[in-house]
Amino acid sequence: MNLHPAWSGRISAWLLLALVAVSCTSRDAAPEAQSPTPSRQELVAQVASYDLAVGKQRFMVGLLTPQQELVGGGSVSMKFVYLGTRERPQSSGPVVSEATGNFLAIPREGGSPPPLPVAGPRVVSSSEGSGVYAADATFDRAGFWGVLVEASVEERGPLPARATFEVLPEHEFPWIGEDAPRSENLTVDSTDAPKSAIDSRAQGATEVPDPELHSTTVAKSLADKRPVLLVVATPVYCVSRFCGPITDMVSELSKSYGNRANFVHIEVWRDFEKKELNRAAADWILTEKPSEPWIFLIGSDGKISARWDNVATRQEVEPALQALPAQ
Amino acid sequence: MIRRLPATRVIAVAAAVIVLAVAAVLLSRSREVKERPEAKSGTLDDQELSAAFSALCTSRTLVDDDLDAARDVFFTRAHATLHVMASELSNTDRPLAAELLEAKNRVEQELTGVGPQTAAEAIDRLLSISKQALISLGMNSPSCPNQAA
Repeated sequence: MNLHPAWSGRISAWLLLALVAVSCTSRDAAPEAQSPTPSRQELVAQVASYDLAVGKQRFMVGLLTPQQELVGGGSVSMKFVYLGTRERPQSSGPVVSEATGNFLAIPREGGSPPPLPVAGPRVVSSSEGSGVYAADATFDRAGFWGVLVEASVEERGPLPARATFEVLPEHEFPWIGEDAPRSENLTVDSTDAPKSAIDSRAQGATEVPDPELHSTTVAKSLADKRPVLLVVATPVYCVSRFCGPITDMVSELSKSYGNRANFVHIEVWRDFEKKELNRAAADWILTEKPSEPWIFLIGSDGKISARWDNVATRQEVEPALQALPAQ
Repeated sequence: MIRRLPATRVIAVAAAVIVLAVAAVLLSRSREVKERPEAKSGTLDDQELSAAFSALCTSRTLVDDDLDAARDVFFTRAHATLHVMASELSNTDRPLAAELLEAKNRVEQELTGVGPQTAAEAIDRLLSISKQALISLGMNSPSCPNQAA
């Protein structure tokens, strides 16, 4: 899929406008959180990835029409442009790399099954579900980048979308190949914490809904040389919308793959109102701005072998579990 | 007499101004990572907030007779906006943001059959807290058309 030549020729001006638009409209938003005000012939792109750094990783972007309708299904093209650093910003740049982004359908909240895959891209109603486009992208240097997305939207034709984002020199959150923190997370046997610190859904008379995810610690699992599928999420206090569905998905996976790995859920907040993180959650997400949800797969060697930020689907996580030996 | 500047000079000056503006932006911006709800912007306008509240009212109207319809309205027209509302609110009033998220979670459980089947009561509570949240976010006090919320 190629950009329309006329549009492609405006990359420089576009990128400048994108950055200036961000400066005029956001208070403290990182540039990736906003897309420049699109014209009627453009889509709104919102980068859904956390913690982008130099190297290869999954890159995700959500697409909306200017009327806030979700665009989903099929695939889109992505072109990545380098825009310099904070100290040496560039007004324009050549396309550094290209990728094809495939639609990742996200399970709906409340335990309902994942939406059916749809052909497309096309405008989908919110009752059909939601999702983002994901591609493997490689960033060869730190700084600010722009992504130019083009989607051939059914009944609307090819529509561009643009967003800027920052790529860090190194990942801020635990990354593949690193030693996993040996977290002494809370379990259902912990007596020194409120139930809601074990799982935020356990409030009042409600018990921890998935005790199988709170039966052991990461530290003990790794001491026993057991792989761990870890979800760091706060189903009640999640601002990203995906903590609940993703925690439910991990719970379902634990029923099928409990012979291959231990499954652990670390609740983010010990006290949401006081902004107090659980100590074990801090092992994983204590940065300038903690984010959620996260899934990490840790090998029996104690090293992180895979991770998924913000959005994760069963189709992505399950193969990694299937690759582990049954024990 | 007006002296026209050469076009190349005008372009050069304009480019310099823009680059300086961009540089100022980038230099002043913190590296803080902002929460990013996947399919919504970080800010909401009054129309979106009103639409979500209105959807909650509709869900409440439907819940006694048609749980499926109430669930559909809630998840498709109110749920995402409630998340963004809570995110915005958490910057200024975390206790109220907590109440909002807890009430929202309770409704989710009730509407999906996990809770103790008191969905109407749960939605009433969410309406009440949403109303406080909207006022806290600067909106006029909203109410459902057919009931006191």
